[in-house]
Amino acid sequence: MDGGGGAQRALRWLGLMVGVGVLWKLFAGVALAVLFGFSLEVVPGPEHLRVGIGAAAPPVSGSAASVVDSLETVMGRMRPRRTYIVIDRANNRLWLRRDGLILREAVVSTGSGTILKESGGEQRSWTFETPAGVHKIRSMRRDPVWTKPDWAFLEEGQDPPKRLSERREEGSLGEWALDLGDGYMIHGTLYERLLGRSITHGCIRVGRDDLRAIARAVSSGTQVLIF
Amino acid sequence: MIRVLRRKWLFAALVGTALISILGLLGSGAPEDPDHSGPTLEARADALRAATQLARADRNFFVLDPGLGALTLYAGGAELRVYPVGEVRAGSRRAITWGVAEGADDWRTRVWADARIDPPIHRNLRVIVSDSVVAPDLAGAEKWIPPTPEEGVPAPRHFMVHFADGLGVEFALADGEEAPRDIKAQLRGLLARMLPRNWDRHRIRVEMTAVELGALYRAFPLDAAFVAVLPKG
Repeated sequence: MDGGGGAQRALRWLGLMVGVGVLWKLFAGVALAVLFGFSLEVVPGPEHLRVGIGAAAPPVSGSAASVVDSLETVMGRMRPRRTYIVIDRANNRLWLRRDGLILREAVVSTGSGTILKESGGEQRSWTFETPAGVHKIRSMRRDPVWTKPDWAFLEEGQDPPKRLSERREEGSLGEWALDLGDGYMIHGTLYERLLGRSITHGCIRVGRDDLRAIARAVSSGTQVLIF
Repeated sequence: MIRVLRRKWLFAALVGTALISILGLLGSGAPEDPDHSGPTLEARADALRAATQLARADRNFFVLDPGLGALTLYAGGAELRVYPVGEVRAGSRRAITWGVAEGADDWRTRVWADARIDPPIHRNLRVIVSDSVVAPDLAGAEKWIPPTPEEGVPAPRHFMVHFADGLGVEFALADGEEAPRDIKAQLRGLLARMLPRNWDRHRIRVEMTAVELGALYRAFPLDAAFVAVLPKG
């Protein structure tokens, strides 16, 4: 009898302790969240906009308003004056922009990030990435002929030829090549089905129709911003 | 006797915890702006001042403007990309805002830099050794077809960008947006938040569509500074 009663008491105690433990953890969790959590407030969005920049905003007056106006003018002056190209490498997108407007959006292909290592010879190495930063179109060539660099042969398991004529390839760059320097170009492609994928050796491949539109809108000196 | 004392101690601890919780709820920062007034001109002027300085320095930077519903990426004075945003929430840790005098809102107008993204993106590097390549494909077909950006790095349900000096920006799916649940990623995110290095002092939560969220996550330039148009609380 005594043994059974003892076991019951022990079980009751165990239950009590577990219950208290769970409650304690629950309370402690809530307390910690309340103490150290974030107090976030909604920041008024466009639907609540009373004052601000943009055509829809009502006119405002006062010194703060004139400060905003003058700062906006300063920002506006720092915009590129001419049409410029923006390239998003991670999403394989290209935009032709001017005065804050998007004139054209294109799905493109950018660098694959692949590393090519030469096993023999000079043991050179190439990383096929599209370089981020601010570039300029240095020259534009219609119906360009590609002079294949060494890596184009090594990648195919061939030795690079010594004669220049053996390096020349017609048609593979499409109708236009916009030269960005250091061997990087914006050009056409034979493989339009692969647009949107990171597959190039660092150049930016563009579909035929988009390339035609881009070539019409830009010239030597046009800024190309790659991020 | 000891049992009674133990029970009393436990009871006192529970009551104490409850009191702290209630006090916390009562003192949880300023209430929401009832009339949802727009961002103040001062906040806008502060952000524009910072943006012009960054543009002059030819820096890459983001401007988050809840009033315009946009997160804009600039390179110098040139607009690179505009990401539409939905609801934006901002605030500090309750433990920081308690009893702190005016001026604690300075964080709302400052420029943030040195970003770190969580979860980080791991890209598989493909290495080719020139010897190992087989004979060229004379048909000219590409031998290796990489995934699309969306396949390679799918849009997460949310991600964090931690800036040095204590700002965490959480980019999350807007209500009603669908994305596959990833329990492993959710657990990982929960654990990551507990790491001391991720203990931000201030937080901004930005809601976006799945498409924009994925595009931003894949392309987020970590060298970009960050400015927000946040009216002082």
